Amino acid sequence: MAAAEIDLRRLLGPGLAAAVALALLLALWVFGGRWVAGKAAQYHQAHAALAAAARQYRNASDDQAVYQQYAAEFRNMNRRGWIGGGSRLSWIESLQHINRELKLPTLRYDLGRRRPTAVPGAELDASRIQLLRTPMHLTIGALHEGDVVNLLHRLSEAGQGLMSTQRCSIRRADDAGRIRFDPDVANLDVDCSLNWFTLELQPQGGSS
Amino acid sequence: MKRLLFFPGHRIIAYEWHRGRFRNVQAFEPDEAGRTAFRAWLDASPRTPVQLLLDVIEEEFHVDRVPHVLGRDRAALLKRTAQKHFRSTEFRYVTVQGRETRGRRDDRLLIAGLTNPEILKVWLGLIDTARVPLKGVYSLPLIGERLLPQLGAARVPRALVVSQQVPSTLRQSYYERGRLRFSRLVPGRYDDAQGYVDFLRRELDQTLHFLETQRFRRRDDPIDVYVLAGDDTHEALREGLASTDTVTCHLVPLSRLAPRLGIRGGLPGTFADAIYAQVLLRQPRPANHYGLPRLRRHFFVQRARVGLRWATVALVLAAVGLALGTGLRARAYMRATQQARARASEFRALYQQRLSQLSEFQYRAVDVKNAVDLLHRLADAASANPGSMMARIGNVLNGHPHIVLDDFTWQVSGDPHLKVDVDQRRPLASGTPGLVHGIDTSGKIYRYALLQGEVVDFGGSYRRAIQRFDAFVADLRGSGQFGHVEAVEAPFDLKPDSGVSGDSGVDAPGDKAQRARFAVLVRTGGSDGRG
Repeated sequence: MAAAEIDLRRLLGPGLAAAVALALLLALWVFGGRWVAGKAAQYHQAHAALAAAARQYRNASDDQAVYQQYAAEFRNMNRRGWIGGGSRLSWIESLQHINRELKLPTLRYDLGRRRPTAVPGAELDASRIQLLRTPMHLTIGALHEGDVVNLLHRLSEAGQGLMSTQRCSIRRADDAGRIRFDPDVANLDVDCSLNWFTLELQPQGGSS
Repeated sequence: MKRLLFFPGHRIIAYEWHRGRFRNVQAFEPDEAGRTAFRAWLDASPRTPVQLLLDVIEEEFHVDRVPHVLGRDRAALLKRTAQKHFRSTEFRYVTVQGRETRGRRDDRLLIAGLTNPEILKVWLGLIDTARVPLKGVYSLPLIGERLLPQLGAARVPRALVVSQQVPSTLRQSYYERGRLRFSRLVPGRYDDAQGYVDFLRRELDQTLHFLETQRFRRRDDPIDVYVLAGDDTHEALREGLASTDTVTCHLVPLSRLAPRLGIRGGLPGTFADAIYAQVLLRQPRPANHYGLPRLRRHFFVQRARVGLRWATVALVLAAVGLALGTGLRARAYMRATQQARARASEFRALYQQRLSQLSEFQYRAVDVKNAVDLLHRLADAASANPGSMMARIGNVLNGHPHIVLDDFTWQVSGDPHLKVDVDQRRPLASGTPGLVHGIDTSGKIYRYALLQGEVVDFGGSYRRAIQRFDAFVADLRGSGQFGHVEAVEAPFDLKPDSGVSGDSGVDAPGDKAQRARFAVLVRTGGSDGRG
């Protein structure tokens, strides 16, 4: 047997032991690393879920604060028909109801088409909030100017939406300036341009 | 424990050494019994490496000079030079001992060689057969360089160390500034201590003379001679050796030198062999002189085995450490994951609780806020109506019975300087930015009223009519109710650039037929603070 072969045989045992130890180390390195990486991934996942849950809770808390601050006004506006209201039939009925009390000799109305309108300076998500405007024109035969003011005030309080008077022209009906004290004859010819505003809101979870 | 073999040329002496203490010193003769005993000694501890220290006559030392080169050339040159000096043996050793200070500054070499390696063959064969690791084969004079510091001769220009390792020989090694330059081993026979002194003096004289003839030193160059003496010869040497002008003799008793070198338990004999053995054994990695690779292969194998074992241990420890580290990291992640999940569950429960409190609203909070804010702004702007303006004008009119209004036009505008269409006698429609369908979103809104009417009962007097109109306008301005009052049209325009016509005849229709019409524009709101 050659000397070199004998030498190699003497190295075989320790060499094998070192190789086994190295293999063990590498196996631990690889599989242990994967195992820890898996645990780390689980941790990061759980941490992300925790962050999301905390954020959701914080948003809910913020929402609650907002609701608490704006709830009363929101309900009031809702009640007054500024939000979601705006039935034309109801508005006409309201006008007829008002005139049954005011008994104006002439009261003609002209409602335009309701259309969305942009509000300059207001950054709103149009998919969630929409301001709608209906142009209106009233032709009134009034006994005196108080009838006009009264009519506009009562229309505003009728709960059908937000009324905005843009222009009113009041002219004596008699060119000579005579005043008639007949409740069926108008002393003033009045033309008013108004805008009827309502707000449409998308409910939570609704398509945007 | 370390094992050392000392070979003085005939028999071989074995030492076992542990932390400065020599024990189990055995001598083996070169006969069958000696070889058998030597093999038994080797087999007693086959894995312990042995070091072989030579102190033989067959060892020669040469000095030479070669050009100073670097790298592979240097190794080849040294090898070639060693072969040149010792062609018949492979037991040779070459070392560079510095450079010349003059000329081309050649390297100074010392080449050592065993001229008759056959004397070692038997012993090396036994070592190889027993597979005992041979760490190295060392030259005693070269090892002696490490002894010089203990003698105080490390920096001495010329030092001659004289020692006796066996009774029959005398070793004389010459060192220049700590480096071996020459060494000779001479046999000698003497009967007593005085005979040894005579022998030593004679050999010393010869060596000094040899150094002169070989130009290692000139006659008048001083030299220090260190004589390592045993207790039995010390007294005789002290009396027999005397220093001269150039030769300074130092008598170094072995019994004093041994403790300085760290030998414990005393010297195993009366000679200096253990001194050199101690110097060699104390070195962790002494430079091998004559140990050929084929002779040292068992040592290499053994080193490799030891290295592999240490590597195995290190790898296992690393694996254990890695496993522990991995386990701890994984455990930390698992705990953190568990905690995060628990906290997330708590947040979800709190969220559900909060959500139940918010169930009343079907709209998002941000939409609710935006809606309320927007409608607030719209409502503020929309609150304007002609009633307020009518009331203010009515208050002023009460003080002017001769002013009669027959047309009142009210308009909202964002324009602070609204013009009047004179022909149509009404404010112009405004397209001012920021005013959307009568509702101002920038916070600036103006309400205009165009008042049209006439002055009555002025008796045909233009002056009176104008005075009454002017008084009315002045009262409007002085009321503090309006931010701006502008007379758009006066009852009679008497300005030079206007034409004037009338009827002042007797049959004129009188003041009833004459109309003193006017138009006044008033404004409230905006930044003038008068709403």
